[in-house]
Amino acid sequence: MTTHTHPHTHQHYLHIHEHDLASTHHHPATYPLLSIRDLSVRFTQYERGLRQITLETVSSLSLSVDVGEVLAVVGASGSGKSLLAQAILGILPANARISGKMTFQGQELTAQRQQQLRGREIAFVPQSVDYLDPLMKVGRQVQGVRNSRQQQQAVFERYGLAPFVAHLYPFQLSGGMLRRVLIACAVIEDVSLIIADEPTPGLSHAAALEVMRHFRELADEGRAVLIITHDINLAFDVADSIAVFYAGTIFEHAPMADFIAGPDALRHPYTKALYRALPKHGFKPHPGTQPYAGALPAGCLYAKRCEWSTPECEQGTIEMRALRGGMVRCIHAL
Amino acid sequence: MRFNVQENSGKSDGLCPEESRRAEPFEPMRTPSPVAATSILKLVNIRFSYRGGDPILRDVTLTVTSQERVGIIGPSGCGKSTLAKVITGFEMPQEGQVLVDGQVLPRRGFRPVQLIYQHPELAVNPHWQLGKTLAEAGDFPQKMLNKMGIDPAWLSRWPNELSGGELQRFCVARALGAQTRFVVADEITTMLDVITQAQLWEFLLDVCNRHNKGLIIITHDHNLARRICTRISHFDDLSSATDITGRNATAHTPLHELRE
Repeated sequence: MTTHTHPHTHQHYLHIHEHDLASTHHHPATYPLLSIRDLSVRFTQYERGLRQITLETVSSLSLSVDVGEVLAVVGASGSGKSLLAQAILGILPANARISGKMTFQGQELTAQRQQQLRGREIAFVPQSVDYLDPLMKVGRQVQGVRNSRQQQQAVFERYGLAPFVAHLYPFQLSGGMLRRVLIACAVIEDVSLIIADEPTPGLSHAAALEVMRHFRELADEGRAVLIITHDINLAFDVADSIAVFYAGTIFEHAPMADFIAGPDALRHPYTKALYRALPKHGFKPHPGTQPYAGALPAGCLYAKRCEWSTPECEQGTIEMRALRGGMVRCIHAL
Repeated sequence: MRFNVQENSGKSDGLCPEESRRAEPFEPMRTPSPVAATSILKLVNIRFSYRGGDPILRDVTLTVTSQERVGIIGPSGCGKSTLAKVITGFEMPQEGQVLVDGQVLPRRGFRPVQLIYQHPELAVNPHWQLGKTLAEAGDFPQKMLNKMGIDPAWLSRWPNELSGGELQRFCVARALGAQTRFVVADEITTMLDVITQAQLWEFLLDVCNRHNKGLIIITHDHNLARRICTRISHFDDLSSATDITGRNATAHTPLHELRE
């Protein structure tokens, strides 16, 4: 099913953008394109000898993405952002167990359905260039098994890859060219959801901005785009909303406008610290590190580093709550 | 503490007059550590091509003193990472020389120019616990590890158990041995979140300022370069004759001001 045979959702997207292009107040559709509720990802590992331990690397995560929306997922390195992408696609390593509920186009996203939709309805732009076959010329890889040579040439042109590049092997390409090849692989099919995991590292600023604009275009054509990125500056220009990850869960889900407005408009103390650490907003390093998945504290996962921390923060489970048009997981946020 | 800069600051192009001021530590040190004299890194008419290929670098010239932080910005595929490998001695140029204080780089032993890679997961031995990887570069006091944001428990972990940001802290610490005169940072924080980026740069700049080590920073992030570099060079292509002199960064902020 493509967006063109899906007039209802397409109309919904037009409806939003007619009112206010920059608005992130999503008018409720019958269902969001992708909805995730209480997702947890656990890994079983052997610690020493035969002693097994379970690591909960993603915990009680809820998120939804609508058609026409670009959602930027930002946050700490190693906070489980890539695992979220892998969980949606059903490509987690074999020792991972997931719980929670995911729906896509209103229907539950089972392992079987994930397999059917991967590459056809849901496309993935991976973080690592290791996803390419080192022994196959990139033109053949982009073309895949269902597309024509003409389609491959068209998508190469769209991403500024010269025709001769199609005849090269991955090791012969620069990092930036490889990025564009990965994106070309994903968008050659007419998908309705694109999940991009760090699509821009290694690209010059201009090239990265170009890639982000391509994602914006793809969303404006009636798709949903979930971009996992560290580059908040790039997300500023194209994203509708931003989800802030920390230690395997989401601390804040805010309209992009709040991130542009600055720390006062933001809700969670970690989000504020992220803002202040940007090179153009002070470059202020907030001390401390993220807790390790095997040793997560009770209560708030940020309490140890937080300037607002009180004894209540370290008890029970801190739930996500609605606040000023966004969502936040903090008892002190105002 | 003051460095003896008079001799070099006059000679090298593009050196800020504030160099000696910036070299002061932003917090008083208890024990005076030995500070090396200012070093000069020179690239003289470097020509380099991979086997059988067209030259990636042609007539590239660069002079950096150990009190500078030179930013190199250019599009992907323009030869920046190749330049980094040549500067650090991982690739030998077909023509030209890389000189540190007039000496060619040693082929054996500790290299005075250290490279920090973009991909830390490829730069550490996967079969070693990280404590061993770090020990290769010398002893690191607990205080320094804290400053780096390295959790003591990580020393007994394996590389595949840590994230890229966590591994990169080890790679940065490892490159800052006492004999290091220059550090080439090739997109070292591209894959990191901004708080970890700011932490890493604060540490790296602090050590380089205190111990008089020069920095060459390869990046795509203009905001970052403006924040940390003393001068910035932009390139389209390094395969035509290039003198990497650059211009002085305008919005350069001394590190001790960043702290406040």
